[in-house]
Amino acid sequence: MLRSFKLKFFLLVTISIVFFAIVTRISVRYASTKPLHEIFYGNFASYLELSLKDQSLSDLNTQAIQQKINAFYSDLNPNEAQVWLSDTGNTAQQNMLSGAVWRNIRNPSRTYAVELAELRQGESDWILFKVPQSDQGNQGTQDFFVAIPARMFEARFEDMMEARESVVNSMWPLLVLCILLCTWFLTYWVMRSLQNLQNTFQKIDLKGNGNVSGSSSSSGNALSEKQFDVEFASFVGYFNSLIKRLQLNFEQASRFSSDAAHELRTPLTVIRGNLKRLLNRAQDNSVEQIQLSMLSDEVERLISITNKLVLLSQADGDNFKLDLQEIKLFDLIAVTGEDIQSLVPHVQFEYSVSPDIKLLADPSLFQQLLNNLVSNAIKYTPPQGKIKFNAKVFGDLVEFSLSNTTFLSLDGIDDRIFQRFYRHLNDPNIDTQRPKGDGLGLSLCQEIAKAHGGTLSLHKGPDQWVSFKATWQRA
Amino acid sequence: MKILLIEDDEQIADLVASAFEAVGIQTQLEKDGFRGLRTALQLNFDAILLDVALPLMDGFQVLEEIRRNNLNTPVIMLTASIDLPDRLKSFEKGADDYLPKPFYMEELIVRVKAMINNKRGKVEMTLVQGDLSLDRFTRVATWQGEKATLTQREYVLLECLMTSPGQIFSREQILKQVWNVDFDPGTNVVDVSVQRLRKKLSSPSPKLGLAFPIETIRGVGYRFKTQS
Repeated sequence: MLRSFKLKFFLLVTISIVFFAIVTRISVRYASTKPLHEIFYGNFASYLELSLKDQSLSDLNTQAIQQKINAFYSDLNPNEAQVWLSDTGNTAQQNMLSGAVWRNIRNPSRTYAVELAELRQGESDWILFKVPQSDQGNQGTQDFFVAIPARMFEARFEDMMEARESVVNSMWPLLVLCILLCTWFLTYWVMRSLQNLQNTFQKIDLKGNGNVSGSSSSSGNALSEKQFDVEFASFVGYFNSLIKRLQLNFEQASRFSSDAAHELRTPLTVIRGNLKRLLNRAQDNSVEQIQLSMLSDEVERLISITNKLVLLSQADGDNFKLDLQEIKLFDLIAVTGEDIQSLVPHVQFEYSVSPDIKLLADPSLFQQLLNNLVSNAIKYTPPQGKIKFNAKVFGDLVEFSLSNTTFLSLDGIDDRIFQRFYRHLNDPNIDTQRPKGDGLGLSLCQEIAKAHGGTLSLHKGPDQWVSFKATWQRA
Repeated sequence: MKILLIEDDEQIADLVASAFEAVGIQTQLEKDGFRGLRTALQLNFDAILLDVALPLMDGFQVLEEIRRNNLNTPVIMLTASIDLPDRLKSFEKGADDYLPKPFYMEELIVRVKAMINNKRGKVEMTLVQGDLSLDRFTRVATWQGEKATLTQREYVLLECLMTSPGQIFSREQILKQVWNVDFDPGTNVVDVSVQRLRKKLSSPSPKLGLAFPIETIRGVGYRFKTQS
């Protein structure tokens, strides 16, 4: 599941957004402490300024102001907030002043005449406000001091934070919905580009054309870079050059084996002809004659390999020219059955084919496929073994299989047998004296099936059964 | 009978010429397309064997010119290609037959003979070699008055040997040509089939000194004996 880019992208974006939200909340929580406190101090300073405005020192009633403040902060103990003038303070109040470090209230929007000091007196923290109070009369200037326990401001601050918390908490469901929507949209958007790329790639066919009749050119595969986002364009460009090189290699390789095989034909004709001439002239029953006959058989084998190579190179280049005809499977299998019975009389052959099954195939290629499969079955079926042929119709397809019991151990047998020149050599049951195939037969069979739009696959069953199953177009 | 061979490969030309000579057919050789065409138009031949890859003019061009000059001599194309388009092209241009390399000389001779006979309006319904005859349509073989209907494989086997008397066929070659398998199944199917043929056609009162014409060549295979 983690191999899905879509899922990974979705998770990543979700996690990033959630992380961002959490970090924002934490940092706001801690960063907002100081400025918010300053705002409370500022408010109180405004209140003080307003209360003392236009009051001359002589009519200043510190008692009344203290009561007002105590009333304002209803949770204060009676007389806990203290108010005094610079020349009327008691000792404790004078002590407070001695430890005070005065500063302005930090508020970017306005300046206060009020100064403030934070200090610790005994067990409790205090916030001290100093309001310079002047008098037009003769008494000169005096400072007006107010000391408020710091917990008053703390309590208001906590109240505010709590209110904000509850607002934010009520927003959570909306936030989650938002995160999901954003992520979904982002994922969809990114995936669309990728999907586009993927769809285009799917249309690429390395062989230049994928259809059986085969007529398109190999240059039709290049992807247009303009079709994609800039980030993908260079990737597509690289991909295009890769495809081009691959196609070139492919063509060269398939041309090479075809050309090589064609070049071999003329000398093979000469060798075969001359060998035959020598063989016919040699004295009957002489050693020479036997040797020439063996040589002649080897040449035949060489010719057979050359022919198969030509067919395989045609398959590689998708150049099989199929002369499609209706083929009655029953007739072919009946003849094949007779052949199997005469070639290996000790092997039991059974077949179940309905006489009305007709395939659409090139007769000579289909015959070759059947011959190769049958040869293969005969080669690896033990004496008293069994060979079976079954065919069934499934809609537009015919499924047929050739199965046989084998003396080979089934462990090492897999799809590699369809590879060219592959030999299943490791089996101790293989008689080294017996001539083996050229390793091209099954590969060719698969190519023939593919060229017809069919398939050929290997299946292993219990009791040493091996079968080759093919699907084919019905006529 | 005389045939024209247009082929640039000397070795193949030599092989073909000697094979035809052995059956009493004269050959004339030309080594390029241009000369080949000139000779074909000047002299009379019973058949023309035409290679595709030739210097100066290729086989298809030569064939085209021959047909354009209303010359109806049967032509067999010899080519290194087994591709369908090449085969079709040959027939489109007016070839009578087509034989891809590497071909069997015997097959070439049989095809040339058949083609000449066709042109003369004779279809060889029965294959005859000495005392043995084989009906190509009913698959009935007759030897010294003894008739037997042959199975498909027996028929192909006998036909294969009969059309090339004097030629030795190895067991492997017979397996390939008759049963279409290119490996030894490890059984004596060829020997059994030849035995069966002999048995089917053995006469209860054989003429003295006349053995069944399929000879066993020990360690090699079989041969249809030439009747002198």
